[in-house]
Amino acid sequence: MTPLIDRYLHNVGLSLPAARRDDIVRELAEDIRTQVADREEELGRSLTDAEQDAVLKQFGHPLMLATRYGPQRHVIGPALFPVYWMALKIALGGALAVNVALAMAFLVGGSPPARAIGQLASFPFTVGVMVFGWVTLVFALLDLNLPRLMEHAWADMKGLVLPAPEGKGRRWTLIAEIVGSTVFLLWWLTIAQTPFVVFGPAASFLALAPIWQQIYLPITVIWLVSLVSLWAVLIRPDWARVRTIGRFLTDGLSLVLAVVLLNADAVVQFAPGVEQTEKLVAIVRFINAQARIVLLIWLLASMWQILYSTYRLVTATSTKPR
Amino acid sequence: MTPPPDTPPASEQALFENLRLELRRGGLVLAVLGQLKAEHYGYTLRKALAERGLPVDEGTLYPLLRRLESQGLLASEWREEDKRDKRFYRLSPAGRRVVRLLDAEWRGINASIGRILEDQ
Repeated sequence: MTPLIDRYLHNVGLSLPAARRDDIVRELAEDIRTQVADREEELGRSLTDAEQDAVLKQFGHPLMLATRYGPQRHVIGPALFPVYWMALKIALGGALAVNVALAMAFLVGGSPPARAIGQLASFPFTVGVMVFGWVTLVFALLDLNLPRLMEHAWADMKGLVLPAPEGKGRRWTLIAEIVGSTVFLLWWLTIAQTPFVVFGPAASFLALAPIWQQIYLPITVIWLVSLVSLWAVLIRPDWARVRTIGRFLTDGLSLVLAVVLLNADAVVQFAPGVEQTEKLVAIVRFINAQARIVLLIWLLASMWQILYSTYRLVTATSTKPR
Repeated sequence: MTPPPDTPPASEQALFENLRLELRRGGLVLAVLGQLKAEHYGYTLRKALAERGLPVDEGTLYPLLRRLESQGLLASEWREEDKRDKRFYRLSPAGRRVVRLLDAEWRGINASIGRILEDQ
């Protein structure tokens, strides 16, 4: 064996499973040796380096050759990929919208422009990567269990897509959602000016921490989008897809907000001018500690909601009758 | 330089190449199994297939042989021939039964497609 062939075989071996490595390399070596011997006999001389190269090139790149010996692997298979791609676009789009809104909030709030630019520039390396990672992880786990999920969904035929939603029941649910969302939005719009609607009598010494100023605008915008999507489906029931996207957007936002708030130093603080007695300090500390527990539950609930919505979407899409 | 008028565009050629490989893939398994009714080692198997009009590169053949063996369709052993160790492959009893079934299936598909294409 020449050094070139030895090096080629060594490189193939690097990517082969250890248990079969020697056996496979031995077989390949034998084939190469036979080819070289046949060719040398034909030419009546030793092969040049270029001729040896040509023999090895037929076998292909060492990594590609070794990969063919392993089972076909994928993180997300073709059945799930279209849904994954859609979810990824929605999640990244939603996260980007939140980020843009945050950057705008910084500008409107009088922060230096560099902070707003930094907020946007850091997106691909912080939130973007995180969203990509989580969505991919969730879908990879779904893909692992896809056959079981499909079987389960198919057994009771719950996965079948329903005809265009009609009838009073569906309409009333939508109206209830619109009323609920509108009430929340009105309440939300008042909290900036009137802390009493959040804290009640405790508003005399409590105020929302600065983190709420940063997330106020994104929440308002996304909630408005969600409300518009509800109205859209009420007026045009065949636009159910708009609602699906709206729901993913709000679920994604909920998750991002939970993470943002959990990373904040505090969610409540002393109202301006309040004397910080030992007792009040203990109360504020207690509320912030309790808020962390609530936020953690909120985070888990948001993750569960996204998983469930994705599962419904996947089983509905993948078992859609042709 | 402009290509001759009946040369398909590059995109069409690439599409044809993909479809050709797809079409060939299933046939190649049957060809390898069929050729291994008689015992061969990799090098002679490849030569035998090429002589019968089905050349296959080493990077495809050897992993395929291992896969078919792990599926129980082939049996193999290292043996010395011409003072060299070689890994010989042959059909296993299960492989023989599967080849018979695949052979009938292949002929059926071939005849059907032949009829369909002749009708056009």
